[in-house]
Amino acid sequence: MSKNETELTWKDIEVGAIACDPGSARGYKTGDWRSQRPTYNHARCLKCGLCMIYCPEGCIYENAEGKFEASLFHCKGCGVCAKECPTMVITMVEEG
Amino acid sequence: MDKQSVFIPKLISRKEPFAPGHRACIGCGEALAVRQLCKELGDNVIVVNATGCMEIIASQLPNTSWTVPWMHTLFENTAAVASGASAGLRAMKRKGKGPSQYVKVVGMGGDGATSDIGFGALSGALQRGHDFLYICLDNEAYMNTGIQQSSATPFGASTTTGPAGEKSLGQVSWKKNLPAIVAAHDVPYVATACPSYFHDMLSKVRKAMAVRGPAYIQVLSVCPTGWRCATNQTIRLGRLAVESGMFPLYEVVNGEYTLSLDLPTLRPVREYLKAQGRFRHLPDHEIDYIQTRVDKEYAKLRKLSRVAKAPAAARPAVTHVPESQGEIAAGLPALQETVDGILARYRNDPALLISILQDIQAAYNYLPKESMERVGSGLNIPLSQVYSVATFFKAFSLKPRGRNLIHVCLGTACHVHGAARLRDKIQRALNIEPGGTTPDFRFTLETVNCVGACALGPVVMINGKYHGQMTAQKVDALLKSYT
Amino acid sequence: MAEETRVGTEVSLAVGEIVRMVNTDVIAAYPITPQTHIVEHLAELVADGKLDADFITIESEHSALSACLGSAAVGARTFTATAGQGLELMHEVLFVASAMRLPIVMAVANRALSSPLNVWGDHSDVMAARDAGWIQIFTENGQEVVDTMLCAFRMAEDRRVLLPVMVNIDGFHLSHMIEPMFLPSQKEVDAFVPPNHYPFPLDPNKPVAMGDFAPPIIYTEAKWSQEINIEHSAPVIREIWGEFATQFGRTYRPVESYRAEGAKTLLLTMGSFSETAMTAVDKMRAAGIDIGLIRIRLWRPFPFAEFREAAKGADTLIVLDRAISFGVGGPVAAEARSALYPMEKRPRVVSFVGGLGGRDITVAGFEEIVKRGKEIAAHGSPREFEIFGVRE
Repeated sequence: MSKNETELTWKDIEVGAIACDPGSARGYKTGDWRSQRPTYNHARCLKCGLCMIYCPEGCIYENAEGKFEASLFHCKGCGVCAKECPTMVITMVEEG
Repeated sequence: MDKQSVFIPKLISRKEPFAPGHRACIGCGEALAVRQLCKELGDNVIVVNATGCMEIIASQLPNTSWTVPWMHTLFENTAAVASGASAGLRAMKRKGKGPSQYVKVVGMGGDGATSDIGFGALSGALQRGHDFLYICLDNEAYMNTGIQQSSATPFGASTTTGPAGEKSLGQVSWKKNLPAIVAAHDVPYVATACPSYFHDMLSKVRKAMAVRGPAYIQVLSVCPTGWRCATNQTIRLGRLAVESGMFPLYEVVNGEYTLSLDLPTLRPVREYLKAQGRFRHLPDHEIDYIQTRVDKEYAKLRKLSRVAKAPAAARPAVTHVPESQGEIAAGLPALQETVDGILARYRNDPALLISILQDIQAAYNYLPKESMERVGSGLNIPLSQVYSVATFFKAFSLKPRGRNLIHVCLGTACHVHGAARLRDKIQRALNIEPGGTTPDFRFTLETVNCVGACALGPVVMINGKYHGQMTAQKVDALLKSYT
Repeated sequence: MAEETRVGTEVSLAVGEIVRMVNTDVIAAYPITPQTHIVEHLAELVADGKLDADFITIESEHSALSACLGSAAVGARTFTATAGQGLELMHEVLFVASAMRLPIVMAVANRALSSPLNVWGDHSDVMAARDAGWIQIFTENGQEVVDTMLCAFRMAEDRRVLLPVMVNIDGFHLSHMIEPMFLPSQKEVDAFVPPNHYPFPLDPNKPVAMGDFAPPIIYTEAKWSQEINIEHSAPVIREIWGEFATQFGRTYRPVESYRAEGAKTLLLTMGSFSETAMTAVDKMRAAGIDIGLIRIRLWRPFPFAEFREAAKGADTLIVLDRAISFGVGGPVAAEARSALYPMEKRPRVVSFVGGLGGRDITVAGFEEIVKRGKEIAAHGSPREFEIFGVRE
């Protein structure tokens, strides 16, 4: 849906108020909830992917080198990846 | 399984059917659980969701995090809606309407929606035997409305409607044992799971999805907001809950209990409780009470469970393995040497964990506990990670196994041709239960739900070789042919 | 040309026959008197292989309608039936069914509400559910039940409507009557009720999310779209009744008038009591009493225009309600007053409540109501409404 919720009129509401665009929440930025942000010492990265599997947001992706990084558009800064990384690649630093 | 130089998380689908951009609290264990679950549920599902955190955070009009068909109606009726959807699909399929592929209906609700307000609907749907999977996302209170007490809130936890105070401990009754209640409905599959053990959880989803009938999985979902802990503790607390016995991982398959992670010793509950603000007020004697009760409950569960049927001493422990097990007999030092040798062959590379475990298994016929500890320290990865890999693949066994591995197929096709009689006959012949190994380590008996050779049914597979159209009369001769 | 068969059967069984003939996919129902004969008959049809449907023997009415939500959402043709307490247990689910636009057809064998426990007929159950967003139709006799049931599936599933439809059948007084009825042939049913094609089913091949969370910024829009939709269903309902008349020769309108032309006093009834009321009107007319009758068939969406048209010209409108809105009076009377209020010259509404919990109102009873109604119209009443037949 191209309109955001403040622009929608009642005529834009689908039958039964269904959402017809699967996964459209992707467009919603949750990154600005963050008070701390992950930083990486990728030299130590084993490419194991544990951070990716344990991320509550599902916002950790493989970069060109096959190492894992969070997309800051969605990352809320919980720090789970930093806590779980077996080789301590990730350090959380204060935003701002 | 072929040797692969891959690391386990990479085996898991990269697709994110549960899209980011959801509004879950920071560090939400429930959003994590759903995200992981969706990877295994696949595309051909219809998710029916109860009111609760998951409904609110993932589907705010006009957007949604869901990429599979999803429906939320009310708080207490999820299992009933799932019943209707499942019946609707079934009736339409009979009449040549609706989706042409098989579609699984998956109900999802929080602990309140499942064990309190929606309890009747769940019980009804389980009893009627609809084809659906129900997943309870258990974060142990009404988190969506602000951390109110539910029947799944553990003893001693402080909530906003059961607060700790001068005259109260918070929750003063024990957490409702919902998996046992579900199992009492005689449904084919019940399991507990936790996203900290994602392999285990996803393998349980896979099994539940294969059931044609009711299946139930209760997923412990750490809630940093309601449990009052740091947002980065989500995985750690899940692990502690499991390892302390507060939330044991197990399966109940056709009434048979199996511990998924049979812990030789439990971690003290104190470690788990002290990590959370909701338990901070508990005095020592209450913690001791919880410890006693958890020990008792865990012992009860072990007694019910297959792995626990053997005496504690027979659990994978090097000193108790008989001589026939070759190298192991030499005892612990030999094991350490062997494992170190294997690790060195793979340059202590954690990326080659599976290959390492395969070699250890080849050496010992199973993965002794000490070997996994050695692997963990040798590769500098958490033991739980080694465990999760080891428990994920059926090819790995945590128990000593016989030289000949018998699989009796109990899938539908074999079942209708008398597979159960066959299993009983083999049990009698070898005097072991499924999951057990003969004292002389000649045979290990397992049952499986399908080996994909339905036309040959009933099938007994020994060391990977199919023996089709088996009868009880042929069993003795067959067993004789394996030494 | 109609190929109907004339049968003498119980009205509840006839409901089941229509559900069978439209090839319903799912029935989810919980037993409650006086709905039981409907679902028992359906269960029998399924058991005998005469209807290929999944009959869910569910554990409560709340779950019954919830199961219908799931079934209708996957695109299956769905039916349920209930009564009294059962309808109240469904209460919150009713609102969801309509807001999610799920075309469920439900027969309600109208029954009184506890406490004290009473299993007999009145309209207390449906009046408590009147604001739930369903199309609600009242029936008067067996033939009307059969015809309304057939139309209900058409209305519910029409792409322009997509709303649940409630067919109200007075408990016992109508549901348990054995009456002569014309049942349509299978061919006629197939011609009149096309297969259900729900436009947005839950289907992995085209995923949608139903039942989102709507904060204040968008909830009003969602509700207004629902309101416009039910208003727009009215012309479609009339169109379907029109088509029905063409095919079967029986005409149904949202509001019916009986000998109302020129009458200065009109009686207003809903449901099976209308039949008795018509006989009473005949008798009173024969005796020279100025009286006519209005019957509301389409209760929701309320047919304002037709109702005003039917009531205009009268001085007094005597409304008989079979339910009490406690502390207020008769719900139909309240509705009538508000509908008539914008008219420059409007009849005075006199409100009676009667026929509660299965108590019968006879022809003589209606004569009394009319007599007392005229007195109230002329001299007033100490009360906002009066109750008929109560022992003082």
